[in-house]
Amino acid sequence: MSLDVLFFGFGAMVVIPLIYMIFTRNIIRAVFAFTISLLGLAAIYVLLNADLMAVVQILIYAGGIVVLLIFGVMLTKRTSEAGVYTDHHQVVIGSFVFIGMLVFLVTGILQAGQVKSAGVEVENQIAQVGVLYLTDHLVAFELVAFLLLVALVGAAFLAKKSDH
Amino acid sequence: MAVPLSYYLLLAAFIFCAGILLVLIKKSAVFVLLGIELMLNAANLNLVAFSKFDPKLSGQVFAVFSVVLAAGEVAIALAILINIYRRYDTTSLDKLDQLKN
Repeated sequence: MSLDVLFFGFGAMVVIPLIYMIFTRNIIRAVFAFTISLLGLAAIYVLLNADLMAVVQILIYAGGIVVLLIFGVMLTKRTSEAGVYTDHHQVVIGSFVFIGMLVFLVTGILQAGQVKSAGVEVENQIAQVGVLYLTDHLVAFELVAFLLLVALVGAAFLAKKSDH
Repeated sequence: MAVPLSYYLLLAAFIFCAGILLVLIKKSAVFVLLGIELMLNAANLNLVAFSKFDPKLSGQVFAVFSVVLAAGEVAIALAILINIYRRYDTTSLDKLDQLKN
């Protein structure tokens, strides 16, 4: 099967849940549609030969962030009321911004011209990326690890029951 | 035959615009968070798509950093959201219009 067919298949897997998310009023369903869209995006990363990024996408986004979001929905809504539903506002302004931005980006991309090169083949890409993390990008790697620790401790501190 | 780069960019443009639309039209704070995540994802897709042409793979390295930062951001945002809910009993963005009391 050619890569084109795979791209359009997984592209539909990304785009259709997004359209559903825009129109639905149910937050839980929107989160699950978001999950499907993230998995499609992981498949597209595989088509781009970015295996590490695909794994990270599934582990952190589809595994971690979605669970956090569902927790957020469940902890901030009462089950007794029709709690998981939400309304729309500013629909006209939102649609104008959406269409304007989309037209702007699409014309920009289409005018930019085609890339001649077919891309570079990097052997053993995950190992290469790992080596890059511990050589060229070591400081950023350590800093981001520290930042994640601080963010998670801060989140636990913020979410604990306060007295007032 | 490989897929042209512009297809990936067009897909990312649509994801970004859908994220903006969600941020603008939904009243629930969780939906706004979903929109922000979508915009981050669109940026990641662009980074990875361009890194296909880069023998040093900088785009992929940067995209993984941005995923980690997104995870931290969601954790903090949800902690703030839970606090807001405890105090005001709502997460509807129309009703949160005070900085104090």
